[in-house]
Amino acid sequence: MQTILAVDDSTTMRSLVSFALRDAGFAVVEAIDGRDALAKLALKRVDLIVTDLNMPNLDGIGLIREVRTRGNHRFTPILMLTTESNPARKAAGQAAGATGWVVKPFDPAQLLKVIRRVLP
Amino acid sequence: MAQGERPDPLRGLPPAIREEMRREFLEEAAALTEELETAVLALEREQDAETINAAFRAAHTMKGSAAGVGMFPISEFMHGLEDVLDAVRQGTLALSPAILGVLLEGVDHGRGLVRAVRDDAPPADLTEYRGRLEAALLDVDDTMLAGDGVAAATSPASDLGLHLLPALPRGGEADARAALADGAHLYGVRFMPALDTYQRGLDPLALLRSLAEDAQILSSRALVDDLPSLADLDPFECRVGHALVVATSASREELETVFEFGPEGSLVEVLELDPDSLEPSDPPESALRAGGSGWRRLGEILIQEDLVTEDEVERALARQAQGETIGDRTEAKVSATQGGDDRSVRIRQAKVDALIDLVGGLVTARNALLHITRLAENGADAAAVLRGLKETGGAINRSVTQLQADILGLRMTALRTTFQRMPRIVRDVAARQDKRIELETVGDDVEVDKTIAEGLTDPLVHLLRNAADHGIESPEERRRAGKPEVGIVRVAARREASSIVIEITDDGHGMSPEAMRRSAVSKGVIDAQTAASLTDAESLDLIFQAGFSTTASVSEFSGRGVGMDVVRTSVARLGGQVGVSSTLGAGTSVLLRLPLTLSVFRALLVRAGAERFAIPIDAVAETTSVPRERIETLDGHPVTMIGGILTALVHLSRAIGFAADQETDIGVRAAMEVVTLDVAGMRLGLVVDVLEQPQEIMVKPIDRYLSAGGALAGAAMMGDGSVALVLEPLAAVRAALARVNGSGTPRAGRARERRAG
Repeated sequence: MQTILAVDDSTTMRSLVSFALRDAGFAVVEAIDGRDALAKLALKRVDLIVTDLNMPNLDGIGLIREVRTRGNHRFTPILMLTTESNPARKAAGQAAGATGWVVKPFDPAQLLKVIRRVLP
Repeated sequence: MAQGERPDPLRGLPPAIREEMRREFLEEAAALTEELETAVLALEREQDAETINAAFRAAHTMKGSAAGVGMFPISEFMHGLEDVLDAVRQGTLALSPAILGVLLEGVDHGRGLVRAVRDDAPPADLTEYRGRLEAALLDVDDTMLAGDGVAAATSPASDLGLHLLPALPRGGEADARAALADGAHLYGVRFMPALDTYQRGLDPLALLRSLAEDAQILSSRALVDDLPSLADLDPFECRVGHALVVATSASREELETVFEFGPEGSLVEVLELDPDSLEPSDPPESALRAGGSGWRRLGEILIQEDLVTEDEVERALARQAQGETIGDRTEAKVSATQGGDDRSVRIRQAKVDALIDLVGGLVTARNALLHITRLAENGADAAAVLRGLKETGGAINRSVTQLQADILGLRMTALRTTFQRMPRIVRDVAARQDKRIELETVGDDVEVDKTIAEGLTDPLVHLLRNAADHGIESPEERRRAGKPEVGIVRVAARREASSIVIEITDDGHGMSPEAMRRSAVSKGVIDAQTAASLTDAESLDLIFQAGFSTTASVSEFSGRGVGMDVVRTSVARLGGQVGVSSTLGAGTSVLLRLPLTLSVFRALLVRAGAERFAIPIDAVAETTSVPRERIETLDGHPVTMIGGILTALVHLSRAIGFAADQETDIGVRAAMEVVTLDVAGMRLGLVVDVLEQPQEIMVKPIDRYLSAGGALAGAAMMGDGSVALVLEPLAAVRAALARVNGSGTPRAGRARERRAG
């Protein structure tokens, strides 16, 4: 079973993403911010990371940058959750090394479609 | 209102889950409005970036979560607040009291909207408020945003052309026509990923698989013209492109979105094709499979190029058939690495270089030996041969001695890592107890065996907490005592001969020997009579007894049932010793003394029964030959005075359970060799059969079930090829005293010894 790390400081969004992914047969690890995500990545190998951008402690951009510059997840696909209204953030995420993005709000089918596009 | 216009993102979920998600959002929204309010209130007092960020984040998160569960009115409302906070965050809008007022009012409205959803009530009409919110944004200084907007990244215009598109395989033409008849379009797709595609976690093949969900791939070809030679190949660079012909009902734009994650520098080209322009032909693959003239097996090519012989190819194929492939070998190696003890030591390059030099010296010496041997064989003068042997022997001796020191040095690590945790510990205790404590550390560059450094961490942390927690007084107490308010805890490490010494000192209230004695008696650690006989130093030493603690209250930090007895045990296990000294009112000092290294140390070699034993010399107080008449009996056990102290005698073989009483009846001998051990405040005379010289030994671990209940630390190989069992002094003494006393507690042994003395 492939494992996906869902990073979001919002419990609602985390539950939504987790539910959709588990329902589709993935194992899901949840993290509440970038720092938590790094800690969990150090413990567990995941196949994909889905991360919110705006988070306390370590934000999504910082997380992507960290993941891309070190550790064994350097080549792991990372999808960022973005709001349509913010092309600058999307560009920053890509510059940091994000693989792709999912525009919020999304329904489970949309999320899974994008995930299948990048899942190794 | 907006809910009707936009699809509910939860629509695909079962109703129960949908309900749960909504409930979860309502809870989160309540917390977020709370956070937002707190932040805005704080901004009224002081406007710092962190608080502004926190406020923005709360509004932003709530906006996103609301949209996530399809509560668009809340999402849109929060979006308005987010815009204002974003402008403040970017520095384009000044946070005036008026705007703070609008924001606070917004928090209330946001809360109201959430409450309305929960209570199933109609939301309030906020048209008037939204007008004011938008008005606030009119003050935004747009000039500062110039150049800030980032245009959507666009692929550079393609100039590749489509001449490389793969031809349709035979029969593919029919597939294409069938698809077209169903209303699909025919597209040529070229995707040339950027070099850094893998670094962004993107697998081009995943994109193609995803493409296959929306489109029928009629033919494909990998574009490998950009591949360098194997020697220049960087496997982390993506240099393979793809050309495809697909049939799909999707539009060209929809097809392009499949590749939208292609990183900057990727080329994506989608062109609608005229079905008539496609000439089906044999793709190269079918030629390969047909075994046609253009295709040869690797072995054949290699033979033709004269690189290998036919025999070698046959042998290689046979090996392959046996499953001995490169892949298998690599895996075996990996699992072997993982299977064993995976502890590792990092070594500086300079140390490795020094070792290589030493080995070089040894090789030279070996060659010299061979040379001397030849000289001797050829009848050289005996004096000359001897001189050569002496010189070479001396060289080998120096190299081996140095090699031993250097290799042991590889296990050495600076105490720095251990010391690094200390400031945090002291700060935590000080903060929790409103104390003011300064930590001084000295000697964090002192090197010690890695195993010792690791084993030292817990005892050191405990001692440090004790010093900060129980040692240092509160600032008021210190003021009353005429001391500076700031207490000082000092941890100092230094090297002394073959040991390291670590001293933990505090300038707190110190300990009273009298109080220690009273406390020990009241806790039943010793009886009153014993207490009265103790010197002050011995009284302080009581702190290391199990079940002893001087403070009335067990504090969160140094209490928790882990006492100083554990510190003494841990230190003894490392072959070290711990002692305490204290002056009432002036402070306490705990001194640890540890061997520099664990694996090689000096040991006293003895024989007992059929075995040879090595006793770590640090544990040996003295060795004595005791004549039979000086041995007395106390409670049926042999005892004698050694160094002025009445000491229980036990035969070594019996002490560790190797022999029963009668086999080692020590009363029948004229005199006996006694090795007196002094470990962790316990004293014992071990009777041995033969006393040999001390020697440096290297300990090899032995299986736990061979360790005589922990009394043996390992085995050591002697120069003559025999094996000596290495005693673990603390466990051995405990086991022996347990046999003497018929009880497992060492303190019983101590009390008995004192009373008898």
